[in-house]
Amino acid sequence: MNTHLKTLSPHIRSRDSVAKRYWGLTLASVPVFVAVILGGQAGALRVLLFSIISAVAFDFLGAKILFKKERVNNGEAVLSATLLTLLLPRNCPFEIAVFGIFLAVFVVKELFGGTGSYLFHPVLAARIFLQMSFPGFFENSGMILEEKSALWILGGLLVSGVAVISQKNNREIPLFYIMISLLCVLLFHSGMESLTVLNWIFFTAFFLLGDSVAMPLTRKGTRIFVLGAALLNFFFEAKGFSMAAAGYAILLMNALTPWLDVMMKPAAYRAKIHLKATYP
Amino acid sequence: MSTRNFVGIRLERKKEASLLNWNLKRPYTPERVRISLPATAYPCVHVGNNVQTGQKIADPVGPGCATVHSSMEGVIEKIAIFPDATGGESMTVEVRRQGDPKAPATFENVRKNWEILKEEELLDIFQNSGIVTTDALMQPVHAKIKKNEQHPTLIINGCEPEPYVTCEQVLAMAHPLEILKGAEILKKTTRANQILFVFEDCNLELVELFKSKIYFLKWEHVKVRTVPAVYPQGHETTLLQRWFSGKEDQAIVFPASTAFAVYEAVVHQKPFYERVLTVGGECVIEPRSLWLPLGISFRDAIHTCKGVMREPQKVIMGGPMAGTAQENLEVSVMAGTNAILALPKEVIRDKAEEPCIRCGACVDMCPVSLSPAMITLAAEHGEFELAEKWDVSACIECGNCSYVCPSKRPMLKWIRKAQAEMAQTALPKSQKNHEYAS
Repeated sequence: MNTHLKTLSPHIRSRDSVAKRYWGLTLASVPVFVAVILGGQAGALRVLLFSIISAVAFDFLGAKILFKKERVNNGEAVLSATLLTLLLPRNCPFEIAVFGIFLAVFVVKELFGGTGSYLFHPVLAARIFLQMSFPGFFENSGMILEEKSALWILGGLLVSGVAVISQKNNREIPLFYIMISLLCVLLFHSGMESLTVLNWIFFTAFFLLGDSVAMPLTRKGTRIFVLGAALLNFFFEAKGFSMAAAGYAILLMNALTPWLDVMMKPAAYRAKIHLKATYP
Repeated sequence: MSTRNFVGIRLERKKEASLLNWNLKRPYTPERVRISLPATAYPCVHVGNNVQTGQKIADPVGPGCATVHSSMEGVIEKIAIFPDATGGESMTVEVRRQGDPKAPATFENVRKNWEILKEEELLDIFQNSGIVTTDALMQPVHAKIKKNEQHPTLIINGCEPEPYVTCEQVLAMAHPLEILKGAEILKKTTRANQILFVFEDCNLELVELFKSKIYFLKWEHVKVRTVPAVYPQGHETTLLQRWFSGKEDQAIVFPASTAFAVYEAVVHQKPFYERVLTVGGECVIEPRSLWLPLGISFRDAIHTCKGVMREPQKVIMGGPMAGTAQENLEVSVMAGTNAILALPKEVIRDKAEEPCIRCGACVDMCPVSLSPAMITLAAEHGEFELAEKWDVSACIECGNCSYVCPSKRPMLKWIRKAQAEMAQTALPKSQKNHEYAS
């Protein structure tokens, strides 16, 4: 008598996976790095290298210290390193990058429960902590995404955007964010450099809002999240905040996520005759 | 009508292989059949009795049950409790063939005056021919009809949203007139005003065939409608949700093959002892839809289709989304078995579970608007009452959430566990039993 696997339905699974999502987003950032190099900031690559190595190391060690299964393969650590590198100032010493990675990967992510459990976007939380720790350095040096090579980076971001939006399941959030932000900028523009503003809008839309963990589950909730993030971002910028405005906006909305999840609970369809698809 | 009603996944349909062998064959009788009886039927034969094809072998105990008929000519070998294909155990009558394989019996006698039979007579015929619905629930047809005084709309469901499964499609292509007449008989008993035939929009030839037949019959109360070919659109619940949301008791749904069984029972006096089912999957040499007697073992059924070309990792009763995996192949075909699938390793794609990344894909894909991610998290931490607050009891167990999950989480397992736990707490204390199968 041959025995076969006896597991519960469904017996087929989609090809989607966590690793695909994270590595996909990491790959989508390659055009931005190409643009960074073409814009004359090849030094960023050194920071990227240190960030990636330290992110993988902190992810692995953090999981080992906390007796958890290490999940370096799913690409989350590398994605965090990539995003943090792009959020740092030009000519940033690599010690600051490594410290930021420690904050993002170990403190904000791993100590709050690891993949899927953290409350705040790790990269943004780390970036803002860095800014508060080294205010002088962050205010006096321009960001990688700003000023000098902004046009190159806009091109890179647009190519990345096409890559991100070509995937069906993450189309809605970036487009919605871009729409609201552009509307805000057009209506109440307050003397900001337009190219930099565009860069930040696109970067936030394609990369920073690509982390679903600290965002609401439902479509409605996500829309409110995105709307809130865009409006808060614009409000902070208008009041003279630095480019961490997007970060503060998203972190504030992160804090609202559990509430949004409960408030935007979908109304279940309850039939008078309740029938199941499976065998009894 | 909001777009929420059209939620579904466009699965790979994989129906071509079994549609290549499109003629419905009836194989010779197998060596033995094991006919499992419903809990409310009691066997009326004894070990050693000779039975004919279609002879009654079990009587209904209550009014809500139908008779059971032998699917083969032979001798009663055993009446015992055997594991059945749904995962439980049931009283089973084993019939063994005497001598060589024989051609299956045929029922050609046309019942006199079948067109002027009254409602009660028809319902009696349904009960005494043992007709049950040919979907997963296997309700006796007369009991399902009697639940309500009148059903204004009768829906004949010819949809098969599950991959691989083609039995309804092949049967409807081969016997459209019989199904139409069966639907007309069902209309009389359900006192319906109109009949809706529902097909998937990709089965255009089926839609056109039925439209042309209805046109020539000049039946204006019969309409053909289509649903998108996405899973689970086409299941009974989603059909009711689509057109009768909030007034589900206004309509009654029967699969097309049930309408065919009704036609044969009423017109040809043939009890319900065989059904069309698909034997398929990548591992089967000649995947096809064919007539098989109820009670034939899965091993014999696959053997009838020339066996397997390589060892399957899973053998499933029903479709791959909502079917039940089988440990061994000695279990037998039941009235609700629409497919036997032998699937290889690369189709199953079993992967390790990862933490939820809250991507919301399960919420987007739930046909009844639940939040499976939240329910699963609650159930995992033993908070079953919290799971109920998130409407776990409204789940129809279609399996969409587990299918789309990028973290490969076994959502449906936790949902079922939460439902079982809630059913336990609903019972009075004396009946509580904390050991349930997960």
